[in-house]
Amino acid sequence: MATLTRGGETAMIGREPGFFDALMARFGRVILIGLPLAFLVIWTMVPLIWALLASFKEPLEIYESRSFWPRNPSLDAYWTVLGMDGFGKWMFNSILVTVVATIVPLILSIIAAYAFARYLFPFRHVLLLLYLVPRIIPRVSLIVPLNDLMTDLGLINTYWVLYITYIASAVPLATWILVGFFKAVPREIEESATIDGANMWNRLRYVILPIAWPGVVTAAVLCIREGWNEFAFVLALVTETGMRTLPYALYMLKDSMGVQDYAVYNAFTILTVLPLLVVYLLLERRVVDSIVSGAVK
Amino acid sequence: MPNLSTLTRRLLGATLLAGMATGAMLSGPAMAQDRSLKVWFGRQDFIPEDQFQTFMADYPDIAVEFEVIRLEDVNSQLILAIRSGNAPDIVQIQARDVAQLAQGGVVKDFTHMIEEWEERFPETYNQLADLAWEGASDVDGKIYGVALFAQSIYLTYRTDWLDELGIEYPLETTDRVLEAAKAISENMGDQDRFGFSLIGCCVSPTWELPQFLAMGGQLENGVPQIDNEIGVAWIEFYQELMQSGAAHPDTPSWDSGQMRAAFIGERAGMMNEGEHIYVPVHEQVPYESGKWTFERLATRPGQTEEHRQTGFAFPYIVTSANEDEEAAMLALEYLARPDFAKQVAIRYQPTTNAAVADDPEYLAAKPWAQDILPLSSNLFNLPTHPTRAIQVYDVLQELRDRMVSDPGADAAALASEYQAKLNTAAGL
Repeated sequence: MATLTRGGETAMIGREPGFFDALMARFGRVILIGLPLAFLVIWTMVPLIWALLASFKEPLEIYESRSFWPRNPSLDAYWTVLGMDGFGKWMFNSILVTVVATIVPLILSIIAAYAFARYLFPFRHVLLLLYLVPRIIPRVSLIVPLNDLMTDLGLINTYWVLYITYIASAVPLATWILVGFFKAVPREIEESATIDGANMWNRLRYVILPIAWPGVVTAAVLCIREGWNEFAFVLALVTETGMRTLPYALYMLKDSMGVQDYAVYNAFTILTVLPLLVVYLLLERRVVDSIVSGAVK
Repeated sequence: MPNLSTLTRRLLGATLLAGMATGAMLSGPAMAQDRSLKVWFGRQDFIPEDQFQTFMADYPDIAVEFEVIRLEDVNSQLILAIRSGNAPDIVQIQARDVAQLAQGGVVKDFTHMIEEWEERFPETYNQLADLAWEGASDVDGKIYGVALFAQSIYLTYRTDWLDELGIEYPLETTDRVLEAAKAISENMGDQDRFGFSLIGCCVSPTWELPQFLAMGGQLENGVPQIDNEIGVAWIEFYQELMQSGAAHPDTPSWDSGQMRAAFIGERAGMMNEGEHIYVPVHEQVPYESGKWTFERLATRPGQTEEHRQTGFAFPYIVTSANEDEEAAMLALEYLARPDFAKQVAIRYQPTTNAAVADDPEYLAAKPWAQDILPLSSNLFNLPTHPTRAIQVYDVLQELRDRMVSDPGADAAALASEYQAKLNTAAGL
């Protein structure tokens, strides 16, 4: 509150912020931040919760009732999925190709991103743009040429066809993410390491990577997600049941000639998403740890 | 590097190496066999229970591999597989696509081997209905395989509900179907029931095209002729079901599963549906209870044109990749045997092997089988466009969706608009 004195008279201008102002400020924050956040959380979570609850329903219940809650919750759908011929193999395939399609692109991308971030070689900007080309071209239009190429290489219906295509699509994404993180590392720190005798590999290993670790984890998460959920390539380049991954097997459950068992469909979805969620949660902690430890230093 | 222990690094490295090694091992060449055969089934349910064990015992020199490739994807997958030299010898497709694949040189004229089948295995050959060959042939009569399973669509309804409402059946004509469907919605709506369960999206017009043919509709060179009195009546039938409230208001977002589930779940009183769906209907409401029945698809009132009961076959076709024609013929003959055809017919699609129709096990599993025989014994194999069947079906699907979602539209204008689209799709 301010006072204004004119000719011996004092006038009060404004007033002390009181309870009402604090309430309005808090209410404003709730309206501006809380409500949109709550909306986003609901928007994101409702389909997941619906899928989870639907997986406990009876086969026809989803069609018959609009209720969110299962009438007689049951794990039958999960037993059906786990009892499917090949479920273990599909899970193994998904894990295998995801691990390979995460580690290899990360190694390649770290090296590539370091070069793009630190070395002033000719056409680096153009080359970095060209890196994006595989991701700009619609995946569907790559299928026929890839099929021909992989046929010539004798790789159709092998793990190699998945490794190669998944790695090729993950490397550009990871490189672009890491270039930004590596560029953000001050050159002076690297120069200090150089004065201390560190060669390029040591600078990358002991200076750049620890500082840019949240970026590496971010790139890893995206590579994992790409590998785990990829569908177009596995559909086009693999026909053998034993070579399929979980997204392909999930797609195979859809049956337009019978009555769709959405409980089983959703149970399969939940079992497919679950490992990815666990990985997300584990890596999210690492990202937070890295950021926090960097801040303290 | 923080938070990455030596153990974790070693584990990751080991997993990577193991992955590469497994990939290398599993991608190696298969063991050589004297003769081998690869078969693609359109659904898991079509695979014989013994998984070719009997076949391989009968013909020990022939090794059989089989996979499931969805009928919806099989055309593109087959073309890719042919390009990659990885194609199956026998593939299950939809009958509508036979001519188109034959034109593309993807499947093989197998007529001569079918003749050999007739000579060597007359018993199974003679058990098969005409549709078994028609459903695997093109317009020139060349046979590319055999259609062992075929479905037809019937008007299916709750007799107990119609009894309750005092409506006599069989219904026979579309005006009586509309009357019954409206009566169910109007009088039983408070019990969460409605008259007619329809499809509004997402699947091919497999249910609506037979209704068009039953109403006297014609096709010319595989193109439905809808810009006429019959086409308009056909469109109006679906529009009236929607506009009158006889069909569920959510229908525009319903696919085949939701349409079926409404009837199976005892919410809808009527639907046009294939006999294979009677299996889950029977589980919910036993056929012997007399609470539901079926009849041929409804005609227009006063219709003078012939009623045609359409059959949709799912033939096994021999591909151009096949090099061992005898092995392919033997496999087709094995799949056609009554024991194997019966297994599929009991759990899924009806078979064209007539010997199954009298089988006690089959009759016990499908108590409606004898009643449906007069309707299914002379099915009309749907002629399709020789090169653009898929494009024609896409336009029909769009029209079906419009009929259901826009019931107030002028039917004659819709018929005219979509006839033009159909003609364009067919390249006319």
